[in-house]
Parts: sequence; structure tokens; C-alpha cells
Amino acid sequence: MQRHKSDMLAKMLKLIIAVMICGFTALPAFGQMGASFYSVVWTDESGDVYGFGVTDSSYNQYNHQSRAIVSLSSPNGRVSSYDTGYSGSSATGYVYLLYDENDVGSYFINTEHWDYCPVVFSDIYQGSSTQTTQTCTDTCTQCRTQRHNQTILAYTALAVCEATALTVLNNGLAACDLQNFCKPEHQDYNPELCASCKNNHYENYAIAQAACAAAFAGLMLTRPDCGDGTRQNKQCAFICSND
Amino acid sequence: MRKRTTLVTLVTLAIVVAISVTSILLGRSMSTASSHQQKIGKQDLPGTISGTENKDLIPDQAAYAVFLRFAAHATKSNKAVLRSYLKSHGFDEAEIGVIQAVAVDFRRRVAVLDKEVEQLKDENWPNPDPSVMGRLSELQQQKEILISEIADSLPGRLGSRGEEKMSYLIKDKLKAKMKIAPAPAPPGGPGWNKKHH
Repeated sequence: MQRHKSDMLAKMLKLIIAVMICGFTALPAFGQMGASFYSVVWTDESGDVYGFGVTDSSYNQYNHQSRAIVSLSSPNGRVSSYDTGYSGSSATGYVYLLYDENDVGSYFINTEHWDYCPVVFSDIYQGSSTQTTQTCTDTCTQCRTQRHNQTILAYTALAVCEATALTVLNNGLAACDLQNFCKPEHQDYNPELCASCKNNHYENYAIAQAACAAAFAGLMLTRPDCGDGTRQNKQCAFICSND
Repeated sequence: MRKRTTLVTLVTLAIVVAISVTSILLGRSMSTASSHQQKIGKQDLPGTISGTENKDLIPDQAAYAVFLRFAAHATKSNKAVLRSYLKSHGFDEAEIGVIQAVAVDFRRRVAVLDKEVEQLKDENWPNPDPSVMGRLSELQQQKEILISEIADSLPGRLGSRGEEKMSYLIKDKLKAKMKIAPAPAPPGGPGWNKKHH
């Protein structure tokens, strides 16, 4: 009887100690490390926003379980959230929101880190971790596309202009050759007049070439400058360049 | 027999009172905290170390543990997320490949430890005895050795530029946003405060 009583008292004591252990989780314990927690959010090249939250505890924390409730919100109120539930010593949840050009600005991630004590059936709030990232309207891609298109237009215009000028020159020279003053067998043959006819066409060709070059230069110079340091990509990084 | 019944009743009553008192105390502190939180947002536990205030207080071990946990999780659920994360921190394709391989290796090796921990906890639910706690501590040490081993291997695997980026990511970016909650204090140990119970 006495032994039975001692056994029961020992069990009771054990349970009370366990209850106390769980309860103390919420108390300060300077100098000792408990659960580590972290949230991160970032914007990728396409403007999609990703984030994750981690709660990582030691193995030897009295059977406690970790949980992370991750929530990512956009400037216009879109929300992506994930609750890992209680999942062992470590809990990791990730969230994402796709790029929306009508929803740019600060994206905010908040993770609530929780701990569950199985002895007193209690959820213990450990703390939260937060971060923000930015998304922007992509002016860089648009600028570079416009610049690229105008470069193509300039080179195409130059080629067409030069080809037209050359065709006109060749036709002019051929027309001169058909004239009697350019035919040595003809009685009206006049080499000076013939040379003058052809020189006229060469002069016109030179003028046309200069005009083509001027038009080309004009188109090239009026292309937008994408490397002026103020253009943005979807990640809001000032990394836009002309190339 | 009557004495035995009385004793059982007393013991049960004592347990119920102990649980109730603890719950009430815990509940009171939590409800006070919760009403406070409604006003200014939820508060971290007292004694929480915040990397925002002083990132040097966050040990490398804890920062690598968090990074590897995330990386291992990402290699399982969505590799593109890890790739995108590393790319946003300036890692090139070769370095990303190395880190993905490291994460897969960590996932495989930590899963063995996690599994034993889960088994031990399931078998000794809800409160493990000291011998189980001893084994859990050993497993925790093994996990820490594994993390240190992986962290130490990174400079050789990533090369000097990759290691520089990793060091910046862990020491400047990750630690600056990390927090560490206080550990549960064992009865009689440092931080143990009888008054709260």
C-alpha cells in the first residue's frame, strides 16, 4: 500500500514538473537559445513575389512542436497565406503572388511563429518576423523594345535609301549611255557631254547618300535612352541599360 | 481501500488544480498580452534576440540552420523558388547548382535525424523522461555537427566569389532579419522562476 502510494506520488510529481516545464516556455531565459525564426520576401526578374517563413527549434525542447503561419500581402490587398500546422521541430512555409502591373509597390510578408506544448495543450506565440519588397511598373523592357525597334527601322531605312539611290544612279547612267552623245559610233558623239550627263547622276547619288546618312543618324539619335539611370525593371532595380 | 480511494481522489484533484493554476496563469498572461497585441500588434516573447537590433548576437549555426531548412524544403517542393531566391542574391548558375546539391544532401541527412526525433517523441508522448531527453540532446548535437560540416564545406565548393556571396547572405541579410526566442527553462535551471507558477 505504502509502495503504491509512493508510485502515485512520483507520477503526480512527474506530471506537475512537466506542466511547469511547458509553462516556462513563455518565460524569459536569457542566455539560452530557443526557436529560430525568419521571414524573407523577394521579387524575381519577372516581377513575381516570393516569400517564406521558417520556425526552427531544437530537438530537445520537451516535445514541443513548431508552426509557421506565413502571409504575403500586396499593395492592393491581394493575399497569399500558408499555415504549416504543427509539424515537428521545424516548420517552413512559402507563399507567392504573381506580377500584376496594376498592383505594384510594397509587398509585405509576415510570419507568426508558434509553439505547441503537448502537456498543457497550449499554443504559445513565439513572435513574428516581417520583411518587405518592392515591385515596379517595368519601364525598362518597354524602353529597350522601343529602342531596339527604332534601331532596326534606322538600319532598314538606310539600306532601302542607299539601294534606291544606287538604282537611280544605275538607271541614270544607263539612260546616259543610251544617248547619242555617249555612243562613239554615232555622229553626235560627244564625250564631254556624256561625262557631264554621268557626273550629274553621280552628284545626285552623292546627295542621296548624304540624305540617307542624315536620315539614319536622325533615327538613331532620337532613340530613347534606356541607360539614363531612372528607368526601372519589375524588381525596381536601376539596372536598365541600352543593350 | 477507503484510504486508497481518498488518496487517488486527492492526487487527481492535485493534478487538476496544478493544470488549472498553470492554465489560468498562462491564460492570464496570454490574454493580457493578447489585449495589448490588439493595440500594438503581437509581441515577441521577452528575451527574444532580434537580428535587426544586433545581428552579431545571432550565431552562424542558427542562421545556417534556417537557411538550410528553407533550402531543403524548397528542393523538395519547388526548386524554382530556391533558384529565384539565390539569383536575387547574385549567385550564378554554377553556384546555384552547388547550393541546390548541398540542400539535397542536407535534406537527406537531416531526415534521418528528424525521423528518429519524431519516433522518440511519439513513443514518449507527451513528456519524455530524462533518458529520452538525453537522446534528443545527442540528436540535436548531431544536427548541429551536420550543419557546421555543410557550412564549412561551402567555401571549397563555391569558390571564393561564391563564398563571399554566401557569407554576405548569411551574415548580413539573413541574420539581420532573424530572431531567436528564449529556450524553455528547465526547473531549477537558469531563468527558472517559481513565482510564475
